[in-house]
Amino acid sequence: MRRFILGALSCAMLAVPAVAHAQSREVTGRVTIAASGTPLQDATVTVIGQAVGARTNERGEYRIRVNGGDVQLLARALGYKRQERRVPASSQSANFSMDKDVLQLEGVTVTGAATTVERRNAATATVNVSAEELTRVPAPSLESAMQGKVVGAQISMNNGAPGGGGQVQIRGASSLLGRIDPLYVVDGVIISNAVRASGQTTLTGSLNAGEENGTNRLADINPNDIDNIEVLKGAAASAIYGSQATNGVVVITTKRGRIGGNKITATQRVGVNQLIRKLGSRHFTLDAALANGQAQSAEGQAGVKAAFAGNPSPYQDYQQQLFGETRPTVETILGVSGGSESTRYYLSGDDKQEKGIARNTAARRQSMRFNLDQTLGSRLTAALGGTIIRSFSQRGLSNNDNANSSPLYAFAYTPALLPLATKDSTGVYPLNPFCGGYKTCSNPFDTYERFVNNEDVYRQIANARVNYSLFNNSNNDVQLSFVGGADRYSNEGYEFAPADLQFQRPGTDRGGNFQGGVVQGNGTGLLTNSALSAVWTFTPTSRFLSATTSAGFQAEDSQGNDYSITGRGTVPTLANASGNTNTTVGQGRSFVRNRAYYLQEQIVALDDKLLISGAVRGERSSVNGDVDKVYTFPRGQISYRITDLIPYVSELKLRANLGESGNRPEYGARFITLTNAGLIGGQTGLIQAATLGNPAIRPERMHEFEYGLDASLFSERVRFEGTVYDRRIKDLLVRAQLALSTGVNVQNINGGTMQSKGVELGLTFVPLESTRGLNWTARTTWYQGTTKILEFIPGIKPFTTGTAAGGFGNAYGRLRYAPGYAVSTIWGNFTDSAGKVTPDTPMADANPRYQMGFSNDFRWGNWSLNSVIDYRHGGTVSNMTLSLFDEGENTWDYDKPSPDTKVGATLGEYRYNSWNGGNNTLAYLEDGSFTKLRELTVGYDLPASVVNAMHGLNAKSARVNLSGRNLFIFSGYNGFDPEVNNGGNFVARFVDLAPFPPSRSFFLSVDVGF
Amino acid sequence: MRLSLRALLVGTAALSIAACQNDLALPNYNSATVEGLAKDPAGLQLAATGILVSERNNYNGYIRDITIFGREGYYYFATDGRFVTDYLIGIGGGALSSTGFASGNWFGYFRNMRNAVNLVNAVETSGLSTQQKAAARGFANTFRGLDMSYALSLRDSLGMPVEILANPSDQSPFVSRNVAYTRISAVLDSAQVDLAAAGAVAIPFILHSGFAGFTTAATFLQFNRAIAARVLARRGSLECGNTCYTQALTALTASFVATPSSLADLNRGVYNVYSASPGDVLNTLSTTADPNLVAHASFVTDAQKKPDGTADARLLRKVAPLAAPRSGNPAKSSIPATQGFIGYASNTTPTPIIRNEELLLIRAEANLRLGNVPAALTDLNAVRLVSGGLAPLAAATVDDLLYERRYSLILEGMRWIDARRFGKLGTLPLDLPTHVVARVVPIPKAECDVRDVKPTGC
Repeated sequence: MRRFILGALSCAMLAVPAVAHAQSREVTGRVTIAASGTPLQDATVTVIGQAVGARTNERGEYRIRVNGGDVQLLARALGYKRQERRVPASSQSANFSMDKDVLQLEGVTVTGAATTVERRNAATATVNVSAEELTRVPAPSLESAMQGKVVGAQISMNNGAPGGGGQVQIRGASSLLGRIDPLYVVDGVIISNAVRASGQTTLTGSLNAGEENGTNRLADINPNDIDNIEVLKGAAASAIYGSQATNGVVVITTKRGRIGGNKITATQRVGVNQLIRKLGSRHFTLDAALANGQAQSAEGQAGVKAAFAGNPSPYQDYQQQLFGETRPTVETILGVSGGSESTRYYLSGDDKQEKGIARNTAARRQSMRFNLDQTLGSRLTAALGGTIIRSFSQRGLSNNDNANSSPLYAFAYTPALLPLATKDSTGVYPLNPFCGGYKTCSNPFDTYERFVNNEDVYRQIANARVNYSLFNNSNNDVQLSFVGGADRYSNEGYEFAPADLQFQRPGTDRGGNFQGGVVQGNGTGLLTNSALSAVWTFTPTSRFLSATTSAGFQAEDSQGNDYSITGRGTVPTLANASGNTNTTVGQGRSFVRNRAYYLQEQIVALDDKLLISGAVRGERSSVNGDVDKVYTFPRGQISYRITDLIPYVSELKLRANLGESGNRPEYGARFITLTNAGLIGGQTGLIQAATLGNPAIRPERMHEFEYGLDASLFSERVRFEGTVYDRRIKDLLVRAQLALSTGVNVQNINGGTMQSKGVELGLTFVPLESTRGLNWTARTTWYQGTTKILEFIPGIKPFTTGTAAGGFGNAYGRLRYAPGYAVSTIWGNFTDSAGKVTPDTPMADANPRYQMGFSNDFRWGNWSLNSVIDYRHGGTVSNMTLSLFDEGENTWDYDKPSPDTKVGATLGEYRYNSWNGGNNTLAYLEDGSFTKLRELTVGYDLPASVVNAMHGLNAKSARVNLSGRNLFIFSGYNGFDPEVNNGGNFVARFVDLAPFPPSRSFFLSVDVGF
Repeated sequence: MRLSLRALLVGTAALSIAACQNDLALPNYNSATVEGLAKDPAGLQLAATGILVSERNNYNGYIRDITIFGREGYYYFATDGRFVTDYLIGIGGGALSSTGFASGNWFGYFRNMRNAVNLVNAVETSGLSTQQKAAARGFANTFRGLDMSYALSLRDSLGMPVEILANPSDQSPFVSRNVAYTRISAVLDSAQVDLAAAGAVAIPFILHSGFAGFTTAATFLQFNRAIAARVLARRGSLECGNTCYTQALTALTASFVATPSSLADLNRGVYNVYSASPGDVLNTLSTTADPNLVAHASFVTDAQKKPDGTADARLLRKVAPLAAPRSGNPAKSSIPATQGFIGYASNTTPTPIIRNEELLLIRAEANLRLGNVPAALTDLNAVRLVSGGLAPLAAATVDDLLYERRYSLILEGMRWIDARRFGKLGTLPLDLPTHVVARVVPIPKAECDVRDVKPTGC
């Protein structure tokens, strides 16, 4: 001991009183909630300036050994404001009475693989979504639960099919050809958010996998297990996730056990989904129906006459008949948690059965999670966690297709006259005689009864964290930590179209060669990552500063293997691919390996007012052209808090962050490959691939400057947060069109620069605050951002990606990437007043002008009321659903008066004629502004007297919630919902094409705690 | 403090070792790579077969284009009128659209030239013997020359780029027709040198049945010289003149040209093959595989008569009346077709890359133009007799030669090119006043758009 102290002294940095333990004493006390006096369990009490701390037990009591003399104690608890208390040398007790942290000023924010910083010092805009906010209203998937709550992000659901499927875009687009989704991390494990291509396109003839409406794998994550979500926007995460951080990182922390006895919670939810907007279709007279372009086949004319026989105004409400189901959605959640100082545990199980608004559409998620925290001796702590999930969905058939098989596609061209939903006496649905005739149409009721689109996911996620306290004294603290984990899933897809479905019959587009089809496939993924870090925190006794130095290594591997068997021309009575007339197999594999190191210095000084931090991360990846080259991503940040200087301003923080992050190339992009040319004489041939690999490919690099100002005003009744960002994405991957005479066609190269600018504002205020009466917290956010392409290197021409998600050509508007224009610019055919048509004319912007979120939380005694409203201003949508109905002379508003009868006799005809075969793209571009009541909840905590009166239940608490999601949409948009997108997740979203209609949902929840 | 730093350093070092020993050079699981070709003996075979597949897949479109331009036939497709408007009417002044249907194959030939270059590169580092390497180079460059000749046949006076550069971002310049043809001959001649150096070895790849009789270096050389002779004869009728005709005769002596006594003799040559197996393709020049391809009625009316008064046997073998006339689309821009092609018996009948009948006519052409009329007549009359059953000619003109080429080589992609090189495009029959005969197929717009230096054809 003596030798050690001498050694420490010789460092000449320390002036530690060498008599620490000689005069120590014990301090005890209680931590309670200010308003109610309820004991606060699992609060931490620490001695400021010393690495000594304790946690409170169920009764809110703590016990801590401190030095002699005066000490300063700090009590903290999640959701409550911190409190400091001076304990004089003479005193041996200190009680704390904690106020609620309504403005969310407390807590920490992630700054590195093993480091955090107090949120009040954070130099970047932080967004936290708490467990309560996430789970108040059940959501089909996590994206949906986050809608309206993350300023700076555009969160959209692709359509209304059950089971999820949505996009989170943080601070706008940051890549044209690379990855566009944020990185999702659960307790340190990077998880997959892949969408599996089901192969449905083969059966429906859609253009690409985006239209198959698969779910992204975030749908597997159970929101009820989440304690907190922190959204790191871009370069803020560069030191941790480097070349994967450009699109932002969503850091998910799951719930953990707390000290105290066994706590059991049970939640039962019952709800229902309901079609939110019904468009209907045109009401026909006999003459109009006979003249309808979709009824000109012999069977079409006969169908019209049959419908009008004995009924002067036949009308079928197809959308209600198909999407009018209101079957109950049920969710059961059980949780057990508790623990002691040394062991804490959390166990949960969840079974959610969601029913879609159309028959045979549903989603089911069953999951079990455990978290275990164990202290092993005085130096070692370990945390283990794991989840097993089964996630199943039946999402029917929707979006674009080439066989009129998608219901709204078929409805658009089907005068709603015949009872297509009614089976005949033999139990068979009638053929739909419209949309050109029996051979070009489908009966969606038959399709939804017999077409199978199943996705079945089994997934396991495991994580481990080991922390070893290598060295600790009053000035130094060195921790070694290991974080590792794995995400493994298998995603089994099964698609089946019976041979006698109308669009599979002989002579149809799909059934021309083969009738009926099966696609059986499986995609597996394995993601592993591990990080080793060392963190040294040095605090001189003067407490002038606290310096945290950290360094570490990270290894990350991800593998995928996807295979499928497609059978066409099915064997009668069988639904297997084997034995079909035509069978094909497909397989795709991937393996990506990343290795990285980082070094970070973080200094908090001047009485915790100043934060200065710098970090650098170096990374190699198997997907780069040069796999041995280390790409470095630096970051620097600074923040300063001004406290109690200005009247009414209790705290003002100025902050700035400068950093770089990357977006790595796709797997395989670096290889110059050959492609299969087919057979000759029984031999396979390989030829040069038309797309040339790029052996020099490197990560896209984002350089971001972010600065902001946060202020707490009027005795912390008002909180303002303002952030401005300006990011430049260099080495942007662009598509180089090569001279065809080189023998190759295109190559993706690092050859562009893009700029994103934006402003994020948040204002929280507490108009009413009282212990017994009405409490009201209101929060408003405002976000505006644009992303513009600045330049391409010489030789690169404006380009399109040619995928369905990028739009359907100039006629309907498409994304076309050109320097000087926003990436979300919709280009199309422009017809001037003289009738001259100019293709590739910038027409509109798919990106909203700005977005706002409004949340209000009221609490009065045992009652609570919470609402979230989402507002989007602008953002143009290509309303192709409307164009389909107009083309089918079948729109809900078709017969309304025409603005110009010279162009068209009715409104629908006017619209379609002014579109002029696609020469005037503007005709179907529409403003997508909306206001949505995302969430509304009324909750009631049953009084203790009532709970106690429930004999035999032995419950400690009980709560009843009545909630709704997406209850109302206010929008002038002439369609189901401007939020939908035909091609799934993409750089910009703007194609509304025969979506699965979105729904609203209502839930009744009962939570009981034991 | 020291302890912690030491631990930190040791830990850091240990971790850095752990992190660095991982190999990041992971393979591509989904596609073979150009780099990997040489490392696997099967790779060379796959690359060689790839050249043959591309050759075959390019062939049918090439023949169809030239058949329509040369007014030997039409492609009447029910749901798209551009096979009539783009091919027969164009965009005015005899020009064709550089983005339309009749903009001809372009990429396919250059891609296959690159396939040949890839194969040559892979062969160099492979385990083949020196002689086998020479044979493989000869194989690859013969096809490279053939592909160049296809591309140039379509673009003719517009010229073309003739080099495949290692870096595809670098653009090989356009050169004139004459320079391009000279380069084609040089490529074919370099293949000749390699094949000769290969000696007695077999071509080190399994070649499909269309190469029966041409699978050794020595016999493949005959195929190489046949292609060289075709190219030289074209050059003879253009800038090169008699020098090339003389070289063509030399090339022919090393080819498989032979005086015929039967149709089988005339048909001896190298063929593309087809099958109905999944992954393979059918012969779309056969009526059974594609009924849209129909014949021009002038092939019937222009046919000479045999001594017995019946028509040229070649007509009877190759064209016959349709069961019902087939209308063009758009109807107002076309005339109904009454004749169909019957030359390919089934949808898997092989198509000739080059055969003896063409070689005889090349020899006849060269001799005719060099003034060796008796020698020319010997070959012309042999073809007339064996192929057409016609009486011999006593004297011969270019028109006589072109008649034999037209009737012997219909649906083999010759008539339009022959009419052009002998200045007789104006003699091709037009069905309607709006119709024109294109002189050349334009350079595709996609090529022009990215050219740093715009060639004259853009």
